Amino acid sequence: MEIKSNLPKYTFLHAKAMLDELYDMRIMEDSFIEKAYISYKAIGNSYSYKHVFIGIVGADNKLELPDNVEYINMVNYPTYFYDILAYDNIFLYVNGSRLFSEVSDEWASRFGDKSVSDRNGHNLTYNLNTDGTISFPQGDFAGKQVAVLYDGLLVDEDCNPMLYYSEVKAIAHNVAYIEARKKAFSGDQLMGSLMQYAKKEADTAIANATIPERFTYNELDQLLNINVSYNRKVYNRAYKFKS
Amino acid sequence: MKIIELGSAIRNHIIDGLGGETPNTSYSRDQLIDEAFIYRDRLIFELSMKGRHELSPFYQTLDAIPIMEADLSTNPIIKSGICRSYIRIPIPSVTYSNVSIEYIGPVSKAKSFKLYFDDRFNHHTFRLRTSKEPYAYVDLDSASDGLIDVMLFNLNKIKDLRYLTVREIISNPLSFQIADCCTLAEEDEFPAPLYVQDMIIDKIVQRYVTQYRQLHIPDFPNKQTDKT
Repeated sequence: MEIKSNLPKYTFLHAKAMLDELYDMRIMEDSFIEKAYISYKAIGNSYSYKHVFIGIVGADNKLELPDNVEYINMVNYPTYFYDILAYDNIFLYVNGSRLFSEVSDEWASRFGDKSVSDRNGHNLTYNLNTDGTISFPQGDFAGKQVAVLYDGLLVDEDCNPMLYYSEVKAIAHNVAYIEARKKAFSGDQLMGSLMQYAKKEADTAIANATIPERFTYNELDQLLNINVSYNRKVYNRAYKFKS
Repeated sequence: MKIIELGSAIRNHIIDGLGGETPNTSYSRDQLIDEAFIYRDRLIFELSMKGRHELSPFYQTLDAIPIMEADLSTNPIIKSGICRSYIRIPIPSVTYSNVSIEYIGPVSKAKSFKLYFDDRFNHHTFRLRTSKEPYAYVDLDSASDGLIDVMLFNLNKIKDLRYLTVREIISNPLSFQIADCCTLAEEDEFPAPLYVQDMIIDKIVQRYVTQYRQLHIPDFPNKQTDKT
């Protein structure tokens, strides 16, 4: 239940509604999404979740992947993924909707009987193409169902990432700052004062949003193992080590 | 106030104001109406410098503007993208930071196209997230019929789109003609709120009465002498 409550549950355009309420600022949707992406990259959060995508390979032996694929873990027949539900700490998203272990009956009915699955343990060989597809060099898979287990962002129906509340707030303030700065530099004097106000708010909100809301035990271990020198002699420098 | 009433009001004020001063008091009402629209355009520019919200009563919506098909890819200004369709819209007013066109998109108002007013539309394909969304290039070179071209890109996603809606501040609402779109007639309401109509009446009457009367003050010789 804890992990369930910590899911990002706000769609990307919640930030536009919040911007409208906080600053009464009207930006067209396309321009807003571009500016919001700049802000989203400034926050730097990207929480990936395990997804399973099940699709039918096309006639050219290629499978078109969803837009939110970050990293492919493995490719196999759909029935193979029945076993993955045995692990408690993996939550699967099948074609966009979340699948919990308690709905395993639905899973079974959707992908057939476990006994007929190809359980030899070998994953399928695939090539990742630059146009967002994978192709299968060994054998012809045209017309067959193939499942892809991958790490990906949680996305809404427009394929924009889902957000936490702190991220929504940070994006709203930062887009207001970007828009006010743009107008102030092109001669709008009223926007100059708004720019200064929004800059402070945006910096605070972005700093708050970078605090992770989802915390694994490994990350907690890393945090607790930090060593701090008690007689630090060098200031205004940050030494960063690769973990 | 209707357009024809506004012209009459200005004309009556001028005749009253210049009564007894000038012998010829016949003024063309059509010309006064034209001047009212010119001054409306200037007010729009001045109001837009102060802030955006004052402009909201000036917008007019034109529904069902037909999309015309033509291959414009050979146009030298278009370097990227495939442009096979365009629409023709009335000339928009000149406003600060080009806010005169508020919306161009489907009639359902579900999707607003990104608008470009200069050659920056060539870089639309390099946007982070919305590079495949439809966009439009507004070519502000006006033609003789009071209409300008708006070239549409990336329309292949939206199938069977035949008409668009445009919401804009029209520079001169009396002088354009689009098929399937109704235009203003002299019996229609003047396209501005009442306080703007009052400003227009005041300004034009003041220009005719005060300004021109001051120009025609007769020269009297100075006959005063110093009393010593």
